[in-house]
Amino acid sequence: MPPAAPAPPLPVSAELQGREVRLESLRVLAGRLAHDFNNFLMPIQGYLTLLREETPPESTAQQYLNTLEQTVRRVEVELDQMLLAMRPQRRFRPQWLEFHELVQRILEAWIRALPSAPTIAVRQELDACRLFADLTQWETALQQLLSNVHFALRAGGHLTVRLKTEPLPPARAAELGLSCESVIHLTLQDDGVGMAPATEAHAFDPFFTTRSRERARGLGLTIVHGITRLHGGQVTLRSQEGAGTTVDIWLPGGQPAPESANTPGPLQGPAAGRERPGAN
Amino acid sequence: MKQHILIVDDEPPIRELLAEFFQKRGYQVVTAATAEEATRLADETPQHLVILDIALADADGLELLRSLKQKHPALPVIMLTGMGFDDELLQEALQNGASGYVSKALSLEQLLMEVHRALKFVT
Repeated sequence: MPPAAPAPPLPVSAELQGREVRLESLRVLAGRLAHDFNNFLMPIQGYLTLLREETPPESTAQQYLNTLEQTVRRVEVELDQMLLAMRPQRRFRPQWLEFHELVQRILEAWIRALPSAPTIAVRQELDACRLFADLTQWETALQQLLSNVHFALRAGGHLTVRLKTEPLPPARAAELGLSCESVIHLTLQDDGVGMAPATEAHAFDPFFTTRSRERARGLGLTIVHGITRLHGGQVTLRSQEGAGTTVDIWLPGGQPAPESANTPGPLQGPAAGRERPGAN
Repeated sequence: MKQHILIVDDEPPIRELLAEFFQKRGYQVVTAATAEEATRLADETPQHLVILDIALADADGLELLRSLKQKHPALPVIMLTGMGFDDELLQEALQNGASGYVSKALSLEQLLMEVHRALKFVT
């Protein structure tokens, strides 16, 4: 595991700062709840194990025990995913990535899985850039973003994905809560259904979703925000009902990809915050 | 001779479950709900292994781990966590001398395997 670097600074932007503080308190709350639920589940699961040992192997009671154990397991998996969404540093294994290749791979897999109708036209403008980042986390984050795009473009439309390295003026860096002078800037812009201001205001909140609970748990943008901040970056969303949504992600340390993908770049520490779970 | 295990957790149902489980498997078990009680028990009776909750009500489990390892450097301590698998906590526990790190979401059999592994490593 890489050494932890300081957490990124709080954004100067009042809107982003308010979101940061709100999400942090929700993360602590969710972490505490998940911890408490794990404490409740352990005796249930444990006594099921002991009960199984004392139950005749061929009895109907063994089948009941199977069902109970499967149910407990499902709750545990849900809790684990919730904890990971709230605290992505639980599994943080960064490496040097050709970030443009990753974006392209996830985007093309998403395009291949799209139904033939309605038509979604995708435009890609991906500059080569390297990023010291957790591969699995960014696969997840990109899939979450594209899942939102799919929902927004359910009647068809256009998606533009841009990736570029650009300088970041100090005032803008402070506004966003970034401590770097150059960034990798990823943009996903769609002309789908968009969001009303009240929806946009809660878009990053955990468990907030405009889809049915069967189709979404409302953790997608919370996950994207957590992963982005863990990598020392920032994410914003602008939307207009009926006109579309634009998601911008800025990640520090943007540098063009070298000719050879195997050439290691200078080691650049990630901004892995030293937050401890609220339950401790 | 039975091997002695000290179980430290502030949740009574977890203490009772683990005591029952390890006694059935032939261990001599004592339990503690607080850091103070755990320290006293570890000092009074030689223990072969400690299973320690990372989040005690009266103390940080990692603090207690440090203090136990200071007094009893050879004593294996397995950390138990309700936070699920966590790279950061795992590293911190291992750096402070923990022999293992087990999520409360894992089965008792997996915890038993970890206990066997830790005891085998010591003896």
